This record gives sequence, C-alpha cells and structure tokens, in this order.
Amino acid sequence: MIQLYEDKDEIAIWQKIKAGDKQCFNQLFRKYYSELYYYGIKIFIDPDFVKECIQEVFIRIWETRERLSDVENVKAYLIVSVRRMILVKKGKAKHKQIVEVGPLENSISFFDINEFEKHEEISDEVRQALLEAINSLTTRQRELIMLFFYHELSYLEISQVMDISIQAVRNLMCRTLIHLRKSIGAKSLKSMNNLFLLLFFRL
Amino acid sequence: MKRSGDISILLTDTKFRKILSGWSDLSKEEKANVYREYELTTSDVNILRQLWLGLDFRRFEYSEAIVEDSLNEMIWKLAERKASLTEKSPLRKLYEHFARIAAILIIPIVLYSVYVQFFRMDYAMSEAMPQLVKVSSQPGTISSFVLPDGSHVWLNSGSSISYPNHFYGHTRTVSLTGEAYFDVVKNKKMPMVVSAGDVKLKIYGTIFNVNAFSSEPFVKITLVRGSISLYSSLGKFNGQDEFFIEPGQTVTFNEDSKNLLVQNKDPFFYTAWKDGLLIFKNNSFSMVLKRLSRKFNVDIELEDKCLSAIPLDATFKDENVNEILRLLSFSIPFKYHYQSPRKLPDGTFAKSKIFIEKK
Repeated sequence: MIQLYEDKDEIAIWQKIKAGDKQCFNQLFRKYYSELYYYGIKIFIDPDFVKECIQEVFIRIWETRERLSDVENVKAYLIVSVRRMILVKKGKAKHKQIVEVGPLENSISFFDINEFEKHEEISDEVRQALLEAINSLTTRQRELIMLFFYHELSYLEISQVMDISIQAVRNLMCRTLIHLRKSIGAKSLKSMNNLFLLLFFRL
Repeated sequence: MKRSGDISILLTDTKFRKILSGWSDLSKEEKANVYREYELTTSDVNILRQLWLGLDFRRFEYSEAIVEDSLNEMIWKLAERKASLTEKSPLRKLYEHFARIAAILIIPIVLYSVYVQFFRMDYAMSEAMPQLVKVSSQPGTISSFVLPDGSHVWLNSGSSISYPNHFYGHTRTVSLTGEAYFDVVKNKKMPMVVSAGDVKLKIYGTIFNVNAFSSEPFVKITLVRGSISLYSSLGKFNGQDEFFIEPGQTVTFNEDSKNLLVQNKDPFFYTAWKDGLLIFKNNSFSMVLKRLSRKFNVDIELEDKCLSAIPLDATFKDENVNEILRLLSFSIPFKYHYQSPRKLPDGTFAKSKIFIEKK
C-alpha cells in the first residue's frame, strides 16, 4: 500500500515537472541520482561518462518537458533513458577510443562481494558460491537480477528496460533462479547443519 | 497452492518474499502454514531464505554533497545549453544553412579551377595571349606607326604588318608582307624577329629596310645601322644558320633560286620611299612602272614588251603619276593614255588603268 502511495506521489511530481516546476525536477534528480548511477556504472565503468549520461537524461527531460508523455513508473522510465543514453553515447564515442572498450550491447560488469548485505544466517562459503554463480551468468541474466532485486522493477518494467517480451523475462528469470539455487544447494545444507551444530553447542 | 516448476521461482512472488523477510519472527504454526500452503520442506525454505538473503543488494547511496554537486553541474549545463539555443537565432540558422550549401558548392568550383589550371593550359594561355594586330598601308599611302616596344615602323603603300598587341616570350615577333622601314629599339634579351616570306631577320636594335612584296619573288633587306642576321627555315646560308648583314649592305634573297645576293649600294636608295622620294637607279622600265603602279594605286599596262628592259635613273618627289609619266616620256619613246575607271556591279569603281605603247 505504501508502495502504491509513493507511485501516486511520483506521478504527481512528474505532472508538476511537465508544468515546469523546477523544484520537483531537482527533487527527482536528487532522489534517483544514486540509483541511476549504480545502474549506469554496471553497464559502463567510467564514472564521469555515467555522470554525464545521467545529467544529459535530466537535461533532455527538462528541455522537452512540455512534450513529455505520462509515465507509469518514473524510475523505470529513468533507467530506460539512462540505458539508452549510455548505449548511444558509447556508440558515438567508440571511434574516438583507441582500444575497443566492448561490444555496443551493454554488458553488466561482475559483482563484488561487498555489493551484497552481509547476513549472519548465510556463511561466507555460501555467499562466495552465490557470487561466483552470479558472475558466471550471462550479462543479460546479471542485468535481470539487478533490475529485479536491486531496482525492484516489475516484469513489465524489466521487459521495457531490456527490450524483450514479458514472457521472455519470465523464462529468463526462471532459468537464472534455478541456476543460482543449484549453485548454493549443497553448500547451504552443509552450512545450515553447521549453524544448527553451532546453535546446539551454544545451547 | 500448486507450484509449477522450481521452488526458486517463489522468490519472484511478492507475498512469499514478504514471508521470507519476516521468517524469523513467525511462530511455529505460521511456519507450518507456509510449508503447507507452498508445499515446501524445511530444507526448501532454508535454501530459498539463503538465496533471498544472498541476493540482498547493499543499497548504494551517494553522499548528499556529491548528488548536489552533480545537480548543480547539470543545472549549469542546462543554462549553457539554453544560452546556446537562444544564440542560434533564425538568422544564425539561416546562415549555417547557407554556409553548408556554400561549402558544397565550393568543391566543383575548386575542381573546375584546378582543371582549367592544369589541363586546359591552352585555354588559360589564350586569355593571356596577346591579340594580333594587323596594320595595312593602302596603295598610294605611306603609314608610320610605333610598335608596342617603342620601335618605329614606316609601312610602304600596299604593305601590311602583323604583330601582337604586347610582346611576350623571348622574341618580338613581327611578320611583314610588302616593304617597311624599321627603327628598332634596342633589347638584347628580347630580339625582334621579322618574318618576311621564307626568311626571318633577327634584330637586336637597329635601322633597316625590308622589301618583301608577295608579288615579287625576292626579299630585299637594307641595313642602315647596327646589325641584323638573316635566317630561314629553308636551310643554311653558306653553312651558317644565320647570315649577318653589315651596315650599308643590301641583301636580296631570291625565293625562286634560294640564293642570296649581297650588294653594297647606298642605303638611301632603298629607304628614301619613307620620305616620299621615288628613286630609280639603273632600274628597268618595267620595274619603274611596277613601283609607280603600287605607289599611285593604278594599273599600268605596258603593251610593247620591248620597252621593259630599258634601264633608267630618276628621282621624283611630290610629283603625281601623270607628271612622272610625262617626264619619263622625254627619255623613253612611249605615249600613254588613261582608261576612265569602270563602274563595277557592286557600285564601286575599278582601279583606273594606264596604257603605255611605243611611239
């Protein structure tokens, strides 16, 4: 319910920006800058480049505010915009770089163990195994995991960001989760037993 | 609730995720309900919990200062962009549009000028090529004029000369038919070349007379002062490419025999015509009549050929043809009569004609 209220609030902010409210515009920037930066830096590891792309997205929003369409989810809209901006700018900048940075298709860089919260209930062993499993996924699978678990987008929104059908998102998610579950399956039981043993000894 | 596929898909279920996140706070009964509802074993839930917690991303949050910096930078960029947008007035846009067109048009212009410069040299040269000027002296008149280099030319009646309106290259080329008297300005770097019939004269600055009427098979050159050389495309003179003429000499090139005759006569005899004098010295009567005919623009017909070889000496000045013939008839036995000029079909009149017969 709270989520729903926030969405409504955001749509109101969006309408105000369309009407030319600069305060709301700045507020939107402040609210999503970090999250967009996190997404951007995963696509392209160049802090200044990502910063410029995000700024460019917001500049375009402000410049074309009168012609902006209504959006369901502002965050999803921003993520799509930043993703496109990075891909376009990367394509333009490609010829300037002596060394090929990578394919035009965005690639989600590997995750670090510190990017996840540390919970006492999971052992380092399981965390490490899970991290390795995530990093062994395809770049699209990693993006899917990030969009779903970090940015908390819906299937519909993810399908828009990744430019594939909802069913494709669903299938991809299914395959990805099975892969991840299997990677920690054996170890988790073991660590659980250890945990029980630990608890047992404490008792 | 029936579950299709792997248990891990439950992680995408919002309600189940809520259960997972609050799992440790649930009572035994509530947990049992979950097991039943989702058809899960204890280990299933354990794995799902581990997976769920393992995928719990740490929120990345920039400090407020960094976000503000970036925001200010963006606002600054926005203002700059706005300024540059307003700078681009319609006029500016129009200018840019035309600049683009001009830039495209410049290519064919450059290509064309390169083409003209390098491949159409002859075309470019013809622009710089001087115009050829032709000066003719009507029969019965003597013209005097100055060439572009300052040289003075007297053109005898019935003669013509062509020359460029400004001299270029290594020589000052002039071509002559008829008789002319030259007073050439000195220029050793750029000698004058007079082409008369088959011979050419190279002059570095001097005074001379050339007689080269196309009606007569010879070219007669009389050098008054300085030095000139004669050469011909027909061949060499005495084994030399050029034949040098000395002052006072009169050289006659016979176009039929291709021979050179060198005489040491008074040059005045050959150059007096420019002063209006008509001098005959040991000239045949036929030659005298020829010169009279040219000078006075009349046809003179000698009916009795036996008179033609008679040599005579005479000097005339300012006399008309009638007077000259009257004076000549004192020493040579001939009488003459005029034929009045005939009217031609086009309305003009033919030359008057004088008939000469033996007395």
